[in-house]
Amino acid sequence: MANARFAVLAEPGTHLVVSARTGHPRYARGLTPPCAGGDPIPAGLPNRHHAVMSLRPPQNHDANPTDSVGRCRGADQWLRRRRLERQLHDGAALRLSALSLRLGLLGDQSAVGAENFQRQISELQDELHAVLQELRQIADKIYPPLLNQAGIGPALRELAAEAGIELAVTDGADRFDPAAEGAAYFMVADCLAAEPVEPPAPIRVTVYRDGRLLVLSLGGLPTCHAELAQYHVGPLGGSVTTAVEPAELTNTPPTNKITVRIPCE
Amino acid sequence: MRVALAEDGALFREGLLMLLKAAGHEIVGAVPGGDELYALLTTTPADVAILDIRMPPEPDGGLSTAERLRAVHPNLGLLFLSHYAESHYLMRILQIGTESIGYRLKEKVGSIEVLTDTLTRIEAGEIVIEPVLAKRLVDRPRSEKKDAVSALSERELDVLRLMAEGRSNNGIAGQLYVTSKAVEKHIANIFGKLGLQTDASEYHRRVLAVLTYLRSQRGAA
Repeated sequence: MANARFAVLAEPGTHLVVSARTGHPRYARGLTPPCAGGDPIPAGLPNRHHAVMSLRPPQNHDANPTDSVGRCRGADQWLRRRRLERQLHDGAALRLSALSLRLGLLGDQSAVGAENFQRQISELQDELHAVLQELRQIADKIYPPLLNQAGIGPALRELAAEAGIELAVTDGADRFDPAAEGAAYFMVADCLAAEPVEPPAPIRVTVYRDGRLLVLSLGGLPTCHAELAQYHVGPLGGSVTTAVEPAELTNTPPTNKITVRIPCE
Repeated sequence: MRVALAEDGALFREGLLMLLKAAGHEIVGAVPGGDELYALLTTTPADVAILDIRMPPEPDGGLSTAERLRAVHPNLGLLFLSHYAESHYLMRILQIGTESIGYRLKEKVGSIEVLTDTLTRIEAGEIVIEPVLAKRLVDRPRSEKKDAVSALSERELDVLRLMAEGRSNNGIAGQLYVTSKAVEKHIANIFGKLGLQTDASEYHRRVLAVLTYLRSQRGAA
């Protein structure tokens, strides 16, 4: 927080908890204000919507060897995740799918009239489908396969569609390294999961490349999520800033905006 | 039916081969990747090609191979099998083609009846969409579509789910044990409530309209 210009501002009565969905920390309504102890809000700022904050300003990421080791560890974590997901897909999931085919064949080879046997085969196949669905959910929490194959935009659209959240994603064809994409994806996922109610306006996500940086801005969520964003992008040497888009720029009420910049290939 | 198969998982490929043979289909070739399938089909004709989405060439060789195949063999039916039922892939598949095309979960074609029904419908020119995905799209529409979808009756929702699977009027009637006339009436009501054009007489255009509606963002329907 040494570099923060202003305090990280959280909704009153929220605290940091671990997300059951993604396994990452997030804010929730509760006992402990999460952002207490930050710098005081400067005089003249009527409310948090006018705060402009930098949790960690952009740095020369290769200057410090210790930082470099930390970023390597952070990147390794995401590569390991991607390998684990692939292992699930190519291993257990494929074997279970093949088992379902073998069961279907067995059901067909049973004596004509053995309806009870065929029904049991069908029930076993349904059970296999349920197990595979559970494996898919686990794989999504490790490293979503769609994120690996199609990138952050399609993966976030799928996430929003699954959760019934209105999310407007603007992205190009740019792809980034697995660590940057993983950190950015799970940051948005956790911020969305931390929202107790659906916001009145769609949440807007913009993703683009700025040299060797993945830049993602998240508009329409409280800026208290900045600390959560820092949790995700910090280990990769990323930075987080928050701002408010004035009404005259957006033709809507003033909108909070969290922007993360993550070093990437 | 002459079937070509491309799947990089040997165990699943062998299981599917056994099932296809038991169903009485002619296997013209079974290969582990998209490039091999493309090469095979340049010399050996087939009615339907079955492709794993996530196979070589990475990252989604099934889709890139299908685009190449559709360009040179426009009448070849395409069945995509995947471990995941994602609306992102569904939309990409429908960009490749809206006739003689299907997308199913791997473990859901595990019976001769289902596999043969899927292949027969694709060979006949239909779109076949994984019911799990069709159900998810109908049951969990994008938030701005919720009001319109919630205005549908239970029976209309049943019809919409089956439409999203790509079923024809007769197919829907058979599933719901009602007459085709009754299905037509339900479909007219659905299109009216969703504000969709009702002149899409071709069923594949109708399926496309429904899927696009359910998947599209605000103002894009």
